[in-house]
Amino acid sequence: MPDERTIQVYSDRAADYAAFTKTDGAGRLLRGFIQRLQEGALVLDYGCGPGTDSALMMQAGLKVEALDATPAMVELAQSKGVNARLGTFFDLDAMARYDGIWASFSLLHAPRGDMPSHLDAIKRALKPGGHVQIAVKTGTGERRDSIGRLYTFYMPDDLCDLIRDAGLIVDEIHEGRDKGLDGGLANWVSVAAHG
Amino acid sequence: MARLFAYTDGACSGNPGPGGWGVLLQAKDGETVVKERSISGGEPDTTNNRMELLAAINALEKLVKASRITVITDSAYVKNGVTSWIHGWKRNGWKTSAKKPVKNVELWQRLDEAQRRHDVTWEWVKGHAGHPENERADELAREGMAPYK
Repeated sequence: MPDERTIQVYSDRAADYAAFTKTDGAGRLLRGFIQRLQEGALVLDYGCGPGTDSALMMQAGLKVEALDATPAMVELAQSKGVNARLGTFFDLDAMARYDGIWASFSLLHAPRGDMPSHLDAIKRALKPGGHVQIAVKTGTGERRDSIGRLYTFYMPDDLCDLIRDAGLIVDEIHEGRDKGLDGGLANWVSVAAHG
Repeated sequence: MARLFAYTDGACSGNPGPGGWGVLLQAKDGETVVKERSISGGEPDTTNNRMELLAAINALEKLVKASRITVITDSAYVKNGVTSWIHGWKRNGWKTSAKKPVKNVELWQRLDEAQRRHDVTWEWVKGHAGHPENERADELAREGMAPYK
């Protein structure tokens, strides 16, 4: 089940987070994801936060549906014109609907034990050959950051194994390090795969 | 059989200063990229040569299986060091021909260890000269540096 405290942190700090993730344009990973899709393709932003990436994908000519478990985030996304709805990761029940699914630093808030179900739901919701990109912070175990968000960490190879177990084919693995909303530096991995 | 290529680059803002390194790994079948991996990292206080070395080290250390790989760097320091100078340094107990300690010795030793597991071909390309993969490695290196600037 979703972690209520994490949702509370995102509710309390939605505006901070929106300012923190504000960007002039799509970053390298989002550009790569967009390039893999045809113009007019339908994308799900799975854990969309304030809708920053959704809006950029719409500007790039994609159709976007977005889902987030924090009401304040859904409102922020909607204020950018994003077709966002309130729901948890378990509320993805579409079948062969999406050309692409973008899950950027969202699934790291799901408990480890739920990850296989969420990846199965992604595989089911993708059209055959559809693209997915999943980014998490790397490491081991689960812990809260200094502002109270609960994280499940994955090593790159373990995340790739889980993605493959769901029947998806891994195409690209990107690793880097960045500052988070909590101010700390964290290593991350972003995996691109297709159905 | 796919062939492996690693494009590596380092970046530094000031020398020394905050720096980053980037690696673009590609598995190619003919001219088609069948799989891609990128890695970047950085440090608050370092030098350009150290970042170039760390890029090459991380490229080779990332490969779990012993592999045949071509590493393409725009650093003459790395290319000449690993293909030529290193043999003399090892014979001289990691001293230069002028009997001075080799600079960045711990990184050269790490690179030596990392390449021992693989069959590596080293290539040099001119940096910032329009090689698309080298440009991408440069972008990764600057990304690796960004959190430290």
